[in-house]
Amino acid sequence: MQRLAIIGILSVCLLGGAPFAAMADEKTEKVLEERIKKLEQMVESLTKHEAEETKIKTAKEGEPPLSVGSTGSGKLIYAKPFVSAPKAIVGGYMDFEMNFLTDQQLTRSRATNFDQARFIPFIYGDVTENIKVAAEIELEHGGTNNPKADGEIKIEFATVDYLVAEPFNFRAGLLLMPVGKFNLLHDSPLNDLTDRPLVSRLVIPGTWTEAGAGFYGTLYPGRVSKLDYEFYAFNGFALRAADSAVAVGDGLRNLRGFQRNDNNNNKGVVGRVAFSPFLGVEVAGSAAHAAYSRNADKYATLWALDWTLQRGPLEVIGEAAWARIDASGAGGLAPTGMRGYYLQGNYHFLPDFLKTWSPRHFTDASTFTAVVRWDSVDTDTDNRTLTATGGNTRELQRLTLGLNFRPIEDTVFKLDYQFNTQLNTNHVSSSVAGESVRIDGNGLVLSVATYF
Amino acid sequence: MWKTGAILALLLLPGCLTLAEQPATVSSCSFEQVWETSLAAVSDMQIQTADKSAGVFETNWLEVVGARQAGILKRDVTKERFKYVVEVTRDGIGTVWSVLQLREEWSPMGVRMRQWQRMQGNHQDTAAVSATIARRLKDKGC
Repeated sequence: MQRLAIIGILSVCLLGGAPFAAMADEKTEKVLEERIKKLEQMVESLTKHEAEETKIKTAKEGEPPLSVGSTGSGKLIYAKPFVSAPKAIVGGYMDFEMNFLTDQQLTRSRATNFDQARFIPFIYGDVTENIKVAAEIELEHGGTNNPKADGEIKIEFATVDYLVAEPFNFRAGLLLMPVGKFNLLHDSPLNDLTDRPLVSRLVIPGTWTEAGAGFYGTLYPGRVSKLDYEFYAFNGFALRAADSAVAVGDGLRNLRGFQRNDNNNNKGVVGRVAFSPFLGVEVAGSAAHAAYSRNADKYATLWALDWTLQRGPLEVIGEAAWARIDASGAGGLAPTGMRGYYLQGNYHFLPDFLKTWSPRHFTDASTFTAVVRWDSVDTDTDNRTLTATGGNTRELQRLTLGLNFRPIEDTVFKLDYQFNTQLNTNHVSSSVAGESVRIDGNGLVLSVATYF
Repeated sequence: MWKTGAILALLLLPGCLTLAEQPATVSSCSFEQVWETSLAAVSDMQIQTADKSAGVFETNWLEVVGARQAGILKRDVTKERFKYVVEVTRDGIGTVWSVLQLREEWSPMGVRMRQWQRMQGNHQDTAAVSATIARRLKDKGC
């Protein structure tokens, strides 16, 4: 545009500068005509050139950066292109865990261990303004082809949403079951402690994904209140092929359903309603109900309550869950009732002197969090399995004290100390072969997790 | 027993919490003048609901690029959206109004891609809207 303006001014000067007397002269007229022609050609070529430049500039602005500008050994691993376009976003998170315990505990079968627990790529796609696709792919412990084949690869969730309106939308696919809040927010970088709550693993069998479809939405019933809901139908619960009854040691984990073929043609229902009267407070109730036996005559029902309270640097979060299961095993050895809860307090802080001392590592986006969590779970509330060898092994309590550091919100280094207790169980030891072992080791659990 | 007490204490903690601050401003202008001026102050946003008898109107959400960068690669892929709730009430011979900004954040990072999350409203934006109303009312001579 500037060039055009300059040319315009030059034209005016050239034309305006011609002597009036010469205007009458035919030769002068011809000269002027030629000059005008030349100027018109120049304008045309410059216009074309400018259009080309604009096109290139626009294309460059739309391109994702090819690197993050990291240099030096060790950082080069991050100097890779990532895919980010208005229509699709690819990213992920990963974590790494290690523990130094006096003995094993529920999820850590070795007293000391290193584990690259999760590498989770995710994809978000804006197909159209109303159609969205979202998915997380889970590669755990190095994947299924690791040298000892003790890893996993699976879809954590994969959904297609059709957005109708804010209060009412359709969702289908592999759904994260909306029972309790933790299952919906289970990503390692989001959580302030390394180990997941006991209740969110045994009673709510997280991470819990099922094939299903349904509706979700958000309502704003008051000026500052918010109500979120999700209701889905899914294939329902199902015993694993190898099991004849719900196992006390697995909690409800071995009742997670088939994602391909429903075992009984009987669909389950699940839903969660969360109410936030104002920013910083949310309370939610959720439930799932489904048949689990092949002939659909035995049912399991799961209820949960979760809460989030935030005020300045202080947070109090938690959830409680209860399950009732129709008796499945012979001889009354299968549990029919389960319950558990956790209560967690978080306090975020960052001493100012750290920002002065090392501004490169401690910025306004950095924070420490002090955490305390109390866990309690019982996968056989009626003590039906108490007299069996290795019976009632999942009446567990855990106190965790933690401190974590987030250099940025999406990256966290966690240091936790756990006190584990195992109550009211028979015939378990830490040394006798063939018998169930105790799972009450205390000690340190450390991890790092980040979104990328 | 102590466990039950501790749980109850923690659950009762929100009793100490209050609604987000909404500083009210008083004007000697009439209700009609303040109502019309308030609507005009947010005219660049669509009005979602307006209940003149209750003295409350609400704008639609307006989506903007999020301030927070996502992940270790610091990508500009988060979104924020905000709306205003304006309340105008008669107060003796004058009129009182308050402006509240509701704000939510969406990130494509992991499970957070599933829905919008509430966040603190921007106090500077709220103050700017309130100041615009006050200035326009002053121009009207009240």
